[in-house]
Amino acid sequence: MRDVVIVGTGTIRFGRYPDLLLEDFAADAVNEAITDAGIDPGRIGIGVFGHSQGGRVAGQRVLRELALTGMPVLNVENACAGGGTALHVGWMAVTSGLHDLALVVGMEKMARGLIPANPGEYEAFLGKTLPAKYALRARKHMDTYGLTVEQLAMVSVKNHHAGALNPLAHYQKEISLEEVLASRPVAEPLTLLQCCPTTDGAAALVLAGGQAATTAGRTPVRIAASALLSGRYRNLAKDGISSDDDIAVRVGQAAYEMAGVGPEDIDVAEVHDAFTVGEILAYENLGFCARGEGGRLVADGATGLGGRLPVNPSGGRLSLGHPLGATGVVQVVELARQLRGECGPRQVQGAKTALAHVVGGSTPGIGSGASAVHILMR
Amino acid sequence: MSDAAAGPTIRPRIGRWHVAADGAVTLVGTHCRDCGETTFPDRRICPRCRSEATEERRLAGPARLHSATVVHQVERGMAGPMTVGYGELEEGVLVLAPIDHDEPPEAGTLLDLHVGITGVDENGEPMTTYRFRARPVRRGGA
Repeated sequence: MRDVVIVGTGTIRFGRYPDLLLEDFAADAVNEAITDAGIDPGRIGIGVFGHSQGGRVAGQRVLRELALTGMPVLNVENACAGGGTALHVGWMAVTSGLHDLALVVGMEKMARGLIPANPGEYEAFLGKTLPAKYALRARKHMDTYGLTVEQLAMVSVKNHHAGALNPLAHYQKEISLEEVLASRPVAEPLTLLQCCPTTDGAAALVLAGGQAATTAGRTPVRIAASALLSGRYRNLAKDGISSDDDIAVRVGQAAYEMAGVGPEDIDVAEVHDAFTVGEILAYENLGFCARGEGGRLVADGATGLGGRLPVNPSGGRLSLGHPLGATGVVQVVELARQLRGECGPRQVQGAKTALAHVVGGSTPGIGSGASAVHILMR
Repeated sequence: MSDAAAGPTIRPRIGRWHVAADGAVTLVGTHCRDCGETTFPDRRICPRCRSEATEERRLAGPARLHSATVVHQVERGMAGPMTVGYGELEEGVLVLAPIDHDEPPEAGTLLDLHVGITGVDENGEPMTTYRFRARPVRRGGA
């Protein structure tokens, strides 16, 4: 395995683009990443595209708009973890030595409303929506550890504060704790402003290895770890952990081991806050705090901008937006730019080590279908 | 054994249930003869050890409420707000089901299984599922 560095980043402003095709706005993100990398795009060895709703050969359709045709292109689907999965595949292509330059794209043009369930997701036909899945996890945490509705809401306040400083975020507006709590209930205790909005978006990365890594133009950011896992059967009563927490703990440990660092070394992180409680659980599963302490971590300000470990400086899913396949890539675009010191008023000063975490694909029997954790270092 | 009282399998993976002559509802799960795991819905292959030495196991309840939520933005074909939650059966199996009450019972509350209409399917036909309701608390300590 050889080092893989991020030499180019690109992202559109996330938002709603009813009049644009996926191809239109995704091509803009790709173009920016290629320009940022300062490479001849004809040298790109492979393109990997993460998306769930883009339809057949969406990656090729995007590249056609840029006259970048003929290269091997993979379209990968892993629900909300699709972007992290695409990055993992691109990383494999480069670290293996098979390709010197890989283009990784996460993109999605979202349908409105709830994400429809797969036919086999039998719990959905009993009334468990995706927000309800997280609401149930929140309820359990409240009962077990005393997590409060205010602490949950603080995640949204914090992430909207960061999003207000990010010109690429869907919602660039501060919101108050009272507004979060007073917004309409979606699945109790989660209110509307604790659930990610419906957002279109696309983001792109150029990865380089070998000679290409040393000749590219911008400050290189190294991918110190790329870990991808799928959920496994767990019986909470017998195993003492749910499938959803189990995959998060395992994928975090795998990434820390690969990078040779621990949670205490992370300077800035992007975690999967599709719902507020998701961020609280990520703190605990990734070792940012002890089990049960996640609510206090956000309440103490430790994960806000200026805190000990700023989490979701982009605004996160709650404010930046969460176009499924785009998320895992735009998180890493944000973190690469943080490590380069390019993030202006939301810059985490002196950040050297960053962690990105995505999870997706609620599946009864195995919990989350996929989760990816990437650790970046400069 | 003919099973005329078995519930309809409207959704192939929703999980099967059985209604006895006295009205008692049991869920149709799977017990693994190799590792002892009990699962619901029923499966041919044990999800823990991949053994095919599995047999049907009826799961009776009551369940103890593990967690519950009131869903306001509901799935298609359902009317909100509706309460859903996980109940833990004696066999250590977590089962998700709609709960009859507008307010979720407290964690640990005993839940009985019954069968009722949970919504309508894509043809507008009533959709029958297993459901939970809190076991009435005996008053007076008798």
